[in-house]
Amino acid sequence: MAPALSRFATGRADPTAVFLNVPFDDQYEPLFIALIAALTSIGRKPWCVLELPEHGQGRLIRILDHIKACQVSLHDLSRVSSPPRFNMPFELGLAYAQKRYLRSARKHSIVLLESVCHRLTRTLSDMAGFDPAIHSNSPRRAILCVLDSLGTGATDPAVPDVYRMWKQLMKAARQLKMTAGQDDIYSRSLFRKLVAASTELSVRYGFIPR
Amino acid sequence: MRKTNVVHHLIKKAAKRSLKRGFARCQGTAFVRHRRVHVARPSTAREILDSLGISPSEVRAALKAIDA
Repeated sequence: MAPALSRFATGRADPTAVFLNVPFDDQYEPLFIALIAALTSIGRKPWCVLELPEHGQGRLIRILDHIKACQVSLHDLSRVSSPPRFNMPFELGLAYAQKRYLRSARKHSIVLLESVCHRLTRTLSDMAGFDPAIHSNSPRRAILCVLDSLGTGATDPAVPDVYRMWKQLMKAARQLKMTAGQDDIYSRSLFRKLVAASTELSVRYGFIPR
Repeated sequence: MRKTNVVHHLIKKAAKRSLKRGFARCQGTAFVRHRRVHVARPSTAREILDSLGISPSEVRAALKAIDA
C-alpha cells in the first residue's frame, strides 16, 4: 500500500501534510503553484483531491479521507464571483466538523485565505473570529501567507527566495503542460510532477535536506 | 503577553531547538521540562515524495521540465 493510502487505514493525521482546498481554475494557477512552492520550501507535504484516482467511491469520500489524513487544511475562500463556487466553503465546513467531532482530528488546524480584506465577514459571517490571510491574488503575497501561517520561525526561507523559486516552478509547469499536451495543471499526473519539481527546487535552493 | 503564554512560548522555542539539533527524533514531538510540546518537524525531500507515492519516472520528468 502506498504511504499516502496507508495513512487512511491507520487513521493518524500526518503533521506535515497540508490539504489544499482551492479553486481549480485558470486564473488561480499561479497562486496554486505559489502555494505548492511555499509549502515544500518549509518541508510541508501539499495534498489535494487531484492526487487520488477516482474508482467509483465518489469525490466527497476522497475529500473527507484527505482532510482526515492531514493535520492542516488550507481553504481559499476568494472565489465569490457570480456564479459563486460553493465547494471551498463546503469543504471548510467538513474540515471544521471533523475537527469538532472526531477525536482523531482534534489537532487539525484550519488556515483561511482570502483576496480582499474584511470581505469574509460578509460572505461567510459564521466564521467570525477566524482571521483569513489576505493574498490579494498575488503569488508573492500567497507565499507570505503560507510562511506566516505554517512556518516554524528561524529556519524558514525568506519570501524573495521562495518567490524566485516560484518563477522557476512556473516555467517548469509550462514545460510539463506542453509535454503532456494539457491546458491546465489540474490533473493527477501533472500535480505529482509539479510537487516533485517543487521538492527538487527546494533542495537546490537549500530550503530542505534531500 | 500573559505569564502562561510567555512560559508556553519559551518551552515551544526550546522544543524547536531540540528538534533542530536532532535530539527528538519522533515526528513533531519533543519533551521539554516534562511537557509534551508539538512542533511539526520539516519533512525531507524523500519524505515528501514518498508521502505522495511519486515514482522515479515522475521525478525524472520533473527534473527534465526544470532543466529545459
